[in-house]
Amino acid sequence: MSDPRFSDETLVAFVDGELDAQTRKTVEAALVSDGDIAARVTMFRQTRTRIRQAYAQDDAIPVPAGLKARIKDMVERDASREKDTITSPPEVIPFTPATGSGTSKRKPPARWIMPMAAAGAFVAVGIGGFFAGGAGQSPPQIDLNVAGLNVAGLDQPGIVPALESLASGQIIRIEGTGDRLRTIASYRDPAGSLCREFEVDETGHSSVVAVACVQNGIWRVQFSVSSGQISETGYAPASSLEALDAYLLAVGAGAPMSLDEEAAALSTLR
Amino acid sequence: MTLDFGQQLIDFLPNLHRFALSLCRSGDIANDLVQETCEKALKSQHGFEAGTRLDAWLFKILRNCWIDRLRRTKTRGTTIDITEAPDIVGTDGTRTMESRLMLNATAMAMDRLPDDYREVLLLVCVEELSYAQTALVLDVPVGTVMSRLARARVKISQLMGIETVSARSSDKSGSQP
Repeated sequence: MSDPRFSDETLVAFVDGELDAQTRKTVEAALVSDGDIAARVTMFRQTRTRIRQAYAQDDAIPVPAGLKARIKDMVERDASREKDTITSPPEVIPFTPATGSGTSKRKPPARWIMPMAAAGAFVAVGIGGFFAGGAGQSPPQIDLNVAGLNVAGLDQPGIVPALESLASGQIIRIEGTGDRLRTIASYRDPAGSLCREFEVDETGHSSVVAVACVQNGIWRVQFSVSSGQISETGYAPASSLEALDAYLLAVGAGAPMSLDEEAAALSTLR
Repeated sequence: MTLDFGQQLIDFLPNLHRFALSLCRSGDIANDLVQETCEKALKSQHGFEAGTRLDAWLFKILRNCWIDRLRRTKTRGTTIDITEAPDIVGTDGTRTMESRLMLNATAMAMDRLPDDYREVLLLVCVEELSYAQTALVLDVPVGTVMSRLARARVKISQLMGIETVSARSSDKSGSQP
């Protein structure tokens, strides 16, 4: 009969090389004299071998090319930021569809902003600014001094053309300043106005996330938050943008457009 | 240091993707989980303690992402079994992957296991983490890793027809909860 001293836990740990030397020797001795223990050890060894073989083959589960490309891009951008020794602003990589076709894969309205790993205190810095000029006018003018408050980071001439042309999920560097603008999503407000959420990373400063809508041919900033510095740990709660979520919910923002819908909407501006 | 970290992250993508799939069993969700994990890892790379294993650390981040996602969306109740819905695949070729994997009897047996069995088997047998590292990733005592692993191995051996065995009671010393 098998030795009752050896539970399955012990025998599995033996196979996995997790036993202390003393216990291992005891099991080895028992293997010789107890066929039942030997059979169980063989079974546990076979499970390990077969599972490993099934999963660990190089081509068993290839990483999707699109995913790999996105991660490489993320790593490269991270490395270039490190080189510049700039305190990193929050990075946002929206889960945009891999292609422009098909329906939107984004989250339902209540959570349509991808959880941005942006840390620190968010402070609302301005509501109601507007981009004078904009659709149909050239060159676009920016006037964001609202009652003496400058809407940080948004008073740059390159923003309006980008909002009118850039598909969501893309990044451009704004001429002159070197700041980066990233389009995040597009949607329509209850009045049917086209709105875009975007982020501007000011070189060497914090970044600003904003929502602007086209009203009578003019881009108006509806909402903007300035993020603080990223935390040391980098583990930023998704709740950092609760204010933005609350705003979107409050104004009844529609679901984010698919890239096709967005392209069609943008084409009407030009 | 950063370049090395980034390269290590890229090199580790197959493992992360594999683990993500074993958790959520959906190509699209697995892609999201891997991407989210990489974002968090890059942001907190300076908090990573040199000398500890990067793989266990990354697996833990990924698993936490998955748990967060379950909490947020309560997906667990509606998670679609890939074997029952082969059309639910990712946008970049995951259909090929899953069907190929599912042709494998072992993978089919793995798919029929409870989630906590499957993840412990993957971490120990495929990713070759130690019990201590696995306990860290799963946030359970080592004794729990051992007992789950033993039960999971008995169960999958039955599913795979390796041998008809019944589980034995655990150590008299009672090493696990």
